[in-house]
Amino acid sequence: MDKKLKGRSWVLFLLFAIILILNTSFAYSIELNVANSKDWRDVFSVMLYSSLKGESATFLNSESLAGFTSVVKEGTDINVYESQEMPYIPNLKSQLSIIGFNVLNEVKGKRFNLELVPKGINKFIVVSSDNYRLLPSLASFAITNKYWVFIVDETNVDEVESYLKKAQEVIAVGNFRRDLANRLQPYFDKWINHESIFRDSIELAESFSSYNTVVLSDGFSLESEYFRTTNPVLIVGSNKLVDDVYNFLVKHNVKSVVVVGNSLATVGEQIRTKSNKTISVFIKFGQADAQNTGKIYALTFFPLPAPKLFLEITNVIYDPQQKKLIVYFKNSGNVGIYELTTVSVKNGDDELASASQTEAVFIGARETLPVSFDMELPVAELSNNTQAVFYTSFGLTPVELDNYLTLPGKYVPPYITSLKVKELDVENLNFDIVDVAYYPSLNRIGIDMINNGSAPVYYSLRIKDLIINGLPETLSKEGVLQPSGSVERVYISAKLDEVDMEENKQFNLIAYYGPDEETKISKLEKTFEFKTASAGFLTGFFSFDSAGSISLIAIIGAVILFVVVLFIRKKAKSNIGY
Amino acid sequence: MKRFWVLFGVVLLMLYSFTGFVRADPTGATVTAGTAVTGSGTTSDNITINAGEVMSANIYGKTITTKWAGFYGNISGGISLEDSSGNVFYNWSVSDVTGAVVYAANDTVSDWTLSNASEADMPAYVQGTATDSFSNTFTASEQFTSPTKTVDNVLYAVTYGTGTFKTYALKTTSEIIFAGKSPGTAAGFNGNNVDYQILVPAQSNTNYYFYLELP
Repeated sequence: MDKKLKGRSWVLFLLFAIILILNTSFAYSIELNVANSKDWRDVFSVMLYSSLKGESATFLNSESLAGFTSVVKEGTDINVYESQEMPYIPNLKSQLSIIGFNVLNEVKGKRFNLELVPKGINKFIVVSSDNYRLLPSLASFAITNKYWVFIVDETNVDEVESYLKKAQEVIAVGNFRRDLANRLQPYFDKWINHESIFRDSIELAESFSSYNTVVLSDGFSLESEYFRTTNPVLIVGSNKLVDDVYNFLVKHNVKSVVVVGNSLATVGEQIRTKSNKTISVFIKFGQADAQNTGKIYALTFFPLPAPKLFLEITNVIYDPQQKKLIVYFKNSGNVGIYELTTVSVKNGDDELASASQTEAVFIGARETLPVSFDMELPVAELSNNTQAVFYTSFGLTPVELDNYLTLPGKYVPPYITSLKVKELDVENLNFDIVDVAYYPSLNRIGIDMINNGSAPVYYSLRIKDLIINGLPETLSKEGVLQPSGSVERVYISAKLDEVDMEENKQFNLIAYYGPDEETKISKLEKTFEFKTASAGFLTGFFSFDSAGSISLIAIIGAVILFVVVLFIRKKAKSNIGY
Repeated sequence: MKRFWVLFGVVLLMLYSFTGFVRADPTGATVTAGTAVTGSGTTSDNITINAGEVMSANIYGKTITTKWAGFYGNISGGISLEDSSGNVFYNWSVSDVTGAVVYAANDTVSDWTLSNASEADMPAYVQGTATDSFSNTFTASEQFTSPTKTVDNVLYAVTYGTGTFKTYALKTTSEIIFAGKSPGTAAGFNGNNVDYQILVPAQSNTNYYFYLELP
């Protein structure tokens, strides 16, 4: 080999070495998919897609890049998955490039849940968008068993149906409104529905091969753990360990539990106490800062569209004449909730009396409801130091009472407050519900009531478990009925379809009533056969609910428009005549 | 031949530039305990990592290095953490933290069956015989106990402070885990009262999640 050739060989060798080194460096670089969307369905889909593909992923949860750069290292290779309609940070690609990230790809989409179905995956889970709290459980199940999860509502049911038609297997989880169920049920190979997200998550967990470690979530947010773990994820309450979940831990001899997020620390403590410290509990609470500037941050969460539940006790009165303890529950939230309470009255450690509800009570949104407990207390022993001690659970349905009522700043029950002794002026009211009917043309239920007494009657009405679009709902209305002696009709809005009207056999009504707001402690329960009625032309327009008001406004608007048009035409005619 | 050496030099430079990220170069600076050398300050309620600091009694003084990072914080009397965007603060508390253990894991922990870790389980950049290597930092061993775990012959390091703040080197089948046991609230390396201090190998591509095992 001549000298020149030998030199060339060395050059080639070195070039090869350089390429090898560069390739090696690429192999060690971190590649990260980033969901840039305010839509939780997009975020879930990008995270699930990435995990199914064996890729790392995270998401934005703020309009500021600071949160992202605090935990993702500069120089990371990024694939941006950006919502065209609801990005957190528009044009994220450019912004990341400017601050030193290497953006490899940018994928823009409108509905990632439909657009990111991985090639080769033909097994699907279907869940209603109303059952968002199941998503953490579904994520770990789907990744372990290689399923895609469709989050279905009326806007995407057509596209989802087209996927299901060609599916190898379809598992439906949770309940569905009838319009969705009618469309999709023919494709379901299996339907997991226990009318409880906790039990649904347990059935998903039962399919795992190992239960050595179990992850717990409250289902109110997404976190990367659910997309990385190989363990089942069970749903629990925010501050309450659900019995079904605890029973699962015992039944399967679970050794360790990981609770995601510090908000579930109290649930972790309940597991330790209840298991007599035989189950290990690890609270995953923080993550290291990416830039090594010296901080641990809380975990990155993406909130799911959970309604905020707010329950408080505003007053507690003991009425010695009626031998009743009256507790005023206030639901400050914007959705109706159920509560179930055990209360004891104590002087220090001495319990004077206690009482429990046997059935969960519905409290409408923004409603204050006096709930009475039969109780006989020694009045002479009651003082300013006497306390009413509450163990109150509440939740969205009677079988999902997954929150404890706690004092402000406290994480566990009981809720403790003082009580007043007062004789409430409960007059002998003459109040009755005489008839109920559904008015299809008005999309309202009319309730006929009568007050034959001499004083106004304050009432809180409930129509229990009325089937609307296939699912039971409790409707409520508050008001005052004047002592007119004639039947008065009040309306509650409800849109029932033909099948609902067939399935509802009766109206179950409960009315709490009294001579004033504070004393609505009398209870009237009545059942009426379900029936429909036709409304007169103006019926309902003058009822003072939102639908009636809108109708009235529409009528007045139409009349004004008619008059204006008439006036213009008349003027135009007179101008021509002139 | 001259061209060969030039090219060889270029390759070496490139190699050096890549390996430079994992290079640890102790400066030998000796700083009295209680003086922060690197990292940002912290409020007493926040848990803080001071990257680039080794707080080991096994190393002379406090050596600035890119191989190790220290975490410390409080678990008694309530914990306050902010999210990475600084917009949300999470305050929480555990009713009884006596015996609680804080863990730092380099990934999601799939199975909490713990065993003792050795140098071979550690990242390459802390292996070997450098002054600030794993074997020169985690020099003692004993039985590790937590509320529900017992592991024999676990290597540990003791970090600065008036309390005996120990960090134990553990592993699962797929992750390395460092455990900080609390001797109770005591003055930490920086003079502030803390409940635990943990020392972990950390580089630019290392990310840790933190767990609290309930007593």
